[in-house]
Amino acid sequence: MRLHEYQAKSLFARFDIPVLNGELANTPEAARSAALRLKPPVVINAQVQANERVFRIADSLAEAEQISRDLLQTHVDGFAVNNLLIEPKVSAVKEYALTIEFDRSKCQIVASASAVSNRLNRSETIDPLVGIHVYQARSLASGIDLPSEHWAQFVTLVLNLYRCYVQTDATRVVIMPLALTSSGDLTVLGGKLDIDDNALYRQSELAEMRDVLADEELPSRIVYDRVRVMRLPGDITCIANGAGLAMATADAVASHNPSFSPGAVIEIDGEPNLERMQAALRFSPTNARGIIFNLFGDRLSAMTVVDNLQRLFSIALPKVPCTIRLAGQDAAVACAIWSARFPDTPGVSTLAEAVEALNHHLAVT
Amino acid sequence: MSILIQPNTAFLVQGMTGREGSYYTAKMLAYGTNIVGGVSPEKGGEWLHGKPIFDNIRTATEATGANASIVFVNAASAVDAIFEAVDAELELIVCVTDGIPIQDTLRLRAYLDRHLGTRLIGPSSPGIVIPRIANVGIVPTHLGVPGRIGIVSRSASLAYEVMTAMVDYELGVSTFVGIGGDPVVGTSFAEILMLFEEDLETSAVVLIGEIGGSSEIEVASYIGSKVTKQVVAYVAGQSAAPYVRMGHAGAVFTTPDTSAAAKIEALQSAGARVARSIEEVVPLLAAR
Repeated sequence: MRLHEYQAKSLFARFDIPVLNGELANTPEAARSAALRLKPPVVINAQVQANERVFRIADSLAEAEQISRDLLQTHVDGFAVNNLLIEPKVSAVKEYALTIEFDRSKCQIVASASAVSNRLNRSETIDPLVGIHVYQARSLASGIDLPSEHWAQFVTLVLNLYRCYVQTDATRVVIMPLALTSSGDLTVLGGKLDIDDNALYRQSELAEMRDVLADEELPSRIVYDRVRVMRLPGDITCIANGAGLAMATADAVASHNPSFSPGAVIEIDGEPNLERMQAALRFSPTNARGIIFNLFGDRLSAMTVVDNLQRLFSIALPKVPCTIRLAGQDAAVACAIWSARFPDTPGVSTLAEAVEALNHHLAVT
Repeated sequence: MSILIQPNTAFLVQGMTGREGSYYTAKMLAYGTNIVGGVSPEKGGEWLHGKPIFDNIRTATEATGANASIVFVNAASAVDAIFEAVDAELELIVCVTDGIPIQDTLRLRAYLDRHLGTRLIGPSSPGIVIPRIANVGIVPTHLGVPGRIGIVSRSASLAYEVMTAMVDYELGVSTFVGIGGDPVVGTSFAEILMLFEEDLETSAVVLIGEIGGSSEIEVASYIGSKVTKQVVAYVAGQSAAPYVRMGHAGAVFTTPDTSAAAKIEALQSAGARVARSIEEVVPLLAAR
């Protein structure tokens, strides 16, 4: 779960990481009021869960209002800008980036620092059973050529950032940029915090910070009890029980012919009971041209799956052509029963046949 | 007896009295798996499915001689259960539990690196099957006939597909190992391939990988240099886009080198035969 910058900064503050005294605004008028209190020049940061940092500098109240008006109507990476974080402008003598993240290629937690204006950087691997050592934080300071009079401050900041990383169950925390101001203070200008979804059960306060609207733009999200929708660019919906099976179904669609391409790939993690299949079907996009169901009877036999499918089709008949691929116990009999009942929606036993049948159906209609 | 499970391997089920633990214990016992007891704190002294329940692993091992465990404990408590199993010096731990926070798994991995006598399979693993001998986990009990093909997979559902298809080609399984779909797992593809390479009961291996991480690249290097047995592979997610998590916590790639294409290339270069679709795996295996 990605948090917004203003949320990340409020958490940083709890861990004594120096952030600016900013205000949140969701209208141009509110932005102007914030700028009045903070006194221009101010920095207006778009609060959006994109990778890039979007901000403008306003030298006057009028400018603050106009910039805010402009930003609040934009989208960045598909995410709508609904909030702005207004902060006092500080002059930075130097800017750095500081990251603590789970590095999957090394299967380790890595802290890294870099100087924004040049190639200087240093990384340190953190033992999760011991935590970050003070000498490692000093090593980062030295690696970015931070003047030694600022090392004590930097070390404290890094240690606090690690505490934040651990205690929020983060997968990644970024301070970018970390400014060294003309008064010799290290201050966070930009920040990101990604929280491990698996840990949300024990981070209830953070779970409540979820931006539900932004979530709807996510390319992969859970929409119902153990039903996940993954968005690929095409228009053939693939519904399968099992993540691997879902991927393999999408792969089979993609490799068939260029005009046949997977769109919504919907995984049912667990039994394909009626409720989950109904949810899956509901989340097939309205612009989908066809649907492939690829269902393996493991805990439920294929006969039960077909039974659930029949009930599903009687409640919510799909509006586009479908094919059903069934595998597992009693699959052949289940296919025959299905095909007799729904002759227009072929029930087949191989994925290749399912893809071919749907493609053929769409080509001739 | 193929890999990981030996005649003297005796399992405790951690979380046996929970809903999932109880359901699957009954199935595993009916299959013939050597389960000697269960561990459920505060339920010590009870019996379930004809097996004794203990409060902790130490008393369980003292009473039963157990040397392995299967973890069905919920995600909030699973890591504690596994630490307990490691400290009790169990040799094999199979963790079925899904949804364990990644920092917990990282701590566990760091701990296991210092306790080399314990092997962890999983988390998020469907388990291990040695047909007619042991079914450890949640793999449907009708799957897997005895044979000489080793199967190792990140995906449970695709392994089930392969095991089902193998029947029509009269091919059987020596051992199936589900290493799990998480980004951090206790045992990698390379480690399982090493075991299969040395296993007299395995002639060839099916490897089912997917996008995300570099476990397939690591095993490709091992296949190219040390493995003499034929490997047939499939890598799921060729149609996936970067940054889109395809179900499993570990099934997401952000750089080209962790995409399906990169893994397929590496495996092919190493001499593995890579199927273009999941349905091509068994025909390729049969054709070798």
